[in-house]
This record gives sequence, structure tokens and C-alpha cells, in this order.
Amino acid sequence: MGDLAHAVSQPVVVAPSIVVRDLTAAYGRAVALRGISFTCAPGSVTAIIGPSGCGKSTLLRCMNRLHESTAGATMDGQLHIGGEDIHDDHINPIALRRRVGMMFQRPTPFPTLSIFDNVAAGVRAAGRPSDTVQSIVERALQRAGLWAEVRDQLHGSALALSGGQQQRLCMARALAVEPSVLLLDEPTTSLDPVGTQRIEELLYELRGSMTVVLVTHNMQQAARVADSTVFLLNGALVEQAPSRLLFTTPSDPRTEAYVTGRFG
Amino acid sequence: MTAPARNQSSATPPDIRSQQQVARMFARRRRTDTRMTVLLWSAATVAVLPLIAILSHIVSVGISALTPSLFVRTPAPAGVAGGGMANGIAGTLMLVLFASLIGLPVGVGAGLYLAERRGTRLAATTRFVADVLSGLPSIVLGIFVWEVIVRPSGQFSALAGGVALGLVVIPMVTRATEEMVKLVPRVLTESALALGFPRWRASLVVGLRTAMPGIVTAALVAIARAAGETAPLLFTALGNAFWSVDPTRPIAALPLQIFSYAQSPYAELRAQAWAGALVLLLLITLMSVLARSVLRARRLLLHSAVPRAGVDDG
Repeated sequence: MGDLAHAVSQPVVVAPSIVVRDLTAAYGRAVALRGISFTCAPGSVTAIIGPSGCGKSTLLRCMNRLHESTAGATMDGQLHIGGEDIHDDHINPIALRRRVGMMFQRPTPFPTLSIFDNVAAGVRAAGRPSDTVQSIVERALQRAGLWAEVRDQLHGSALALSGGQQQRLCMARALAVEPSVLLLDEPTTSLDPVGTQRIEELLYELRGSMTVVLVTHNMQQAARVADSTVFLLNGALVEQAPSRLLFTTPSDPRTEAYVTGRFG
Repeated sequence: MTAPARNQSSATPPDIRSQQQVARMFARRRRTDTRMTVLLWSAATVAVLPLIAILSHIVSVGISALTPSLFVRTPAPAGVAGGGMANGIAGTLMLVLFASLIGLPVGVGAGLYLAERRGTRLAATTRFVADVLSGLPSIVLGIFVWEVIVRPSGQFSALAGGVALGLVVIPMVTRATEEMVKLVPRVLTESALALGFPRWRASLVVGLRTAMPGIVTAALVAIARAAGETAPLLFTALGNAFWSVDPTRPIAALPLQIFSYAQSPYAELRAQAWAGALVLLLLITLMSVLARSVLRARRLLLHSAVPRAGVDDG
């Protein structure tokens, strides 16, 4: 799966596979996911689609154990990343989240930190030696395609950036920690078409070097960037298929109804 | 109000009104507008008038006794002309410093805990206790500190006064910090957690720092309130007619001096009481201006780089 051209310019991070087995998740009594099973190939981009409230975000939040930080949230089943069950007792969620990066629906730059400090935040939290931070930040901003735009204002407020730039800043912030998995929760919903295109191009470049899981409402986006697409409905998995197949010849009538816009 | 005459022809829109009717309607709106404006202005005046009256009175009466010697001299013996409030100013500054050292860390820490662990039983208890504490008459705080510090140690002291004032600061800062940290969007804290921040670091770097301007404002209000408190000091700092900055000795404080001078039979001392009130006012204003300018400087520093035109892509 590895893309050699990228392996040269980037630190070698082996993209892991993600295997979800009978995953059930709930908020108190409200069940969000019912026995989900699917697999993401190492270095692939997997899109998760489905109508609002079908459990897409919950599924993503289980993958970096952010789900358990919500009061009353429970989960059951297995979720293996790189062959390891991440809900095992010996897995430290903090260490896990350094391997599994995440981006949110809206840009979430830390408002009190400068652009530089935003990107450096995760690196510093991980306790990397401070003399390496400068180069890590620069490389992360370059990978996120933001370096040329912010190199003269690294110590200015992150809030001075446009929405699209802020979202790429969040991308740089996530990449700086060098995760091997990247989770994206509708990362382009709040962006205009140009900003959306930039993010999609980045995803295209990341393919191979990390395993990407993308939650999206935009089926064209899923078709464009994802190798494989998972369709969720009411907390249950309806179908997983290579994107090309799922959007052209879905095997389940509910998938067909959804992708052709008959509901959702 | 009569209904506007309907047009007979169906070709013209039905609710076109005559010019006269329109004029009447606008006149009514203008009258309502004037009435409401007057009402709001009078409400605002009633609210602000006492403040203006107090300020202008303190300034006009206090300014005459506001001499340089007030700031550098200690009180003269009764009946002797001159003297100042240097000890009271230093004492108040010291008491406020102690109160801040005790009250701000405890208050901010407790507030952060309340915001981060909203649902726990300890949080509910802490919240309740903080509310009770802020509702206590401040004289009770004074007696309490007298009982636990002054009596065992055998003397009134600046330290005891600082503790009493700290008890005034704690609940105010606690609840304000809690509210401000709660206002920080949850997704910001989650972003930090998702980056591999330990919980405590996410709270400090994201929760607390984002809420900081609001917390500073609340801390200033609490400190200003503490600086003006008299009752908790009666049994603790006691007051001191002489210069002292020894934390283990009784210490003078502006409110105490104002209290005793205002009752004095000597006109000069009464004038000094007003000047003392003015100084207290100025001190608090100065502190709040300083703290705000620090915040603003930090913000300006952060915003110094403006986005360049032409690179805005989204």
C-alpha cells in the first residue's frame, strides 16, 4: 500500500489496518451503534456516510476513545488498530490519541495560541525535545499546504486566518504529532468549495502514508476521495464496498435509495 | 382604528393605503419611539445616577484633603494638624496581596474543578458550599478567622486579615471561573484531548486560558470588593496607627481608617476620611486598568500579524 514518493519525504509511519468487530456504543440508554463490523485497509481512505444521527460521529469517536470522555457513554465490542484492541486495559488513551489524529466539523484552533503554538501544541504535550519543535511545526504546515500562507505570521493569532486556512491549520496540528491514523468528522462542512478542494487534495496526498477515516455528508466527496465507503443507517451497518461500486451498483436497496437521494 | 378602504379594482394590490393613513401610521410609530426612548433613558439614568452621585461627591469632598503628605505620612496624633494615610495605603495593598495569594489559586482551582467535573457529588457539594460562603455576612468571616487564627496565635495580624479577605475572594472567583470555563466550547477541549493532551493539560491550556479574560474580570471585581471590606478586618488586621508592614503584626487598612476618621470630632480627620475613600477608589481603578492592559497587550501581541490580502481562500 505504501506510496514510495511520500515515504521519502516523510517520516516512516506504517499505516495500520483498522478492524471493527461487533462494535456497540451508547449514550446512557440511547444506543448509537448496534454491532458494527467492517475493516479499513492499511493506508486507505474509508468514507462513512449516512443520514444525520446514524452514528457516524460516534463511530469515529470510538476509534480514538474520545467517546468514553462523554458522561454516560458506553461501548462494547472490539476495535483493532494495527492488530491491537484499543479498548484493552493496557492501552493508554493519551498515547493512543497521539497515534490516531482527529479533525472536527468546524475549525477548532486554540483561540489563545498563535499559529505556531497551535501546531506545536500536540508536539509539546507529547514531550518532544523543544529544539525539534521548530522543524516539526514547519514540516507539518508544509504538509497541510499552509506554510507559504502563514510563514510571515507564525506568531500571530490563529483566529486571524480564514475558515479554510484554520481547518488546514487543524490538519497541520494533527499531522505534527505524526499519527498513523487520521479521523475526519465532516472536515469540509463549514468550508467553501475552494477550501474543500484543498482539504480533499491533502487527503489524496496522505493516502498510503496513513489510514484515513472520513465521515461526510457529501457523497460526491466520498466517491472522489475514498477507496472504500461504509453506509450506516440508524446505528447499523448496511453496506461496505469499494466506493466505485457502492455509488454505482449498491447491493442493498437502502443504500441505493440513500445514494440516489431518495431519503436522508 | 378604521380598516383601510379596500380598492374596488382587483388589478391594484388590496392594501395600498392613502397618503394620509401612512402619515398617521408613521406619526404613531414616532410617538411610540419617543416614548420608549425616554423610558429607557430614564431607567438608565436611575441606574447610573447613584454611582455618579457617589463618585462626584467623593471626588469633590476628598480632593481638598488629597495632599502629597497623605501618601507619605502616617497619622498624626489627635488634634495635631497634618498626618497622612501612608500606613493605611500600604496596609490595604498588603492585605489585598495576601487575599489574592490565598483566594485566587483556591478560587480558580475550585472553579476549574466545578466546570470539568460538573456531575460529581463533590462538585455539587463544593458549589453549594461556595454559594453559602459568598452569602455569609463578612463579619462572620472575621469572627471565624479570629477564632482559628488570631486567638490561637495570640495576636491580631496582617496575615489573619489577608485570610479573612481571601475568604471573601474565594467564592466569587470560584463561581465566576466555573461559568467562564463552561462557556469554552466543548469541541475545543475535545480537540486538545484528540491531540493526546492529558485531561489536566487540556483543562489548563485550553479551558483555563480561553476563559482567562472573563476570569481576570471576575478576579478584579472580587479583589475590589475585598479591598473595600471593613468588617472582616475588625477582628483580624485590627488596624494600626503606625507604619507597619510586618505580616505578623496588626496592620492599618484604608477602610478601617476611613471608618474611624469619619467618626472623628476633628474636621481635618473627617476630610482625610473622604480623601482616603478617594484613594481607595483610585487604587482599585488603577489595579483594574493595569490588569486589563496586561490582557490587552497579550491580545495585541497575538493579533499583531493581520492576514495578508489575497491569500484568503475560504
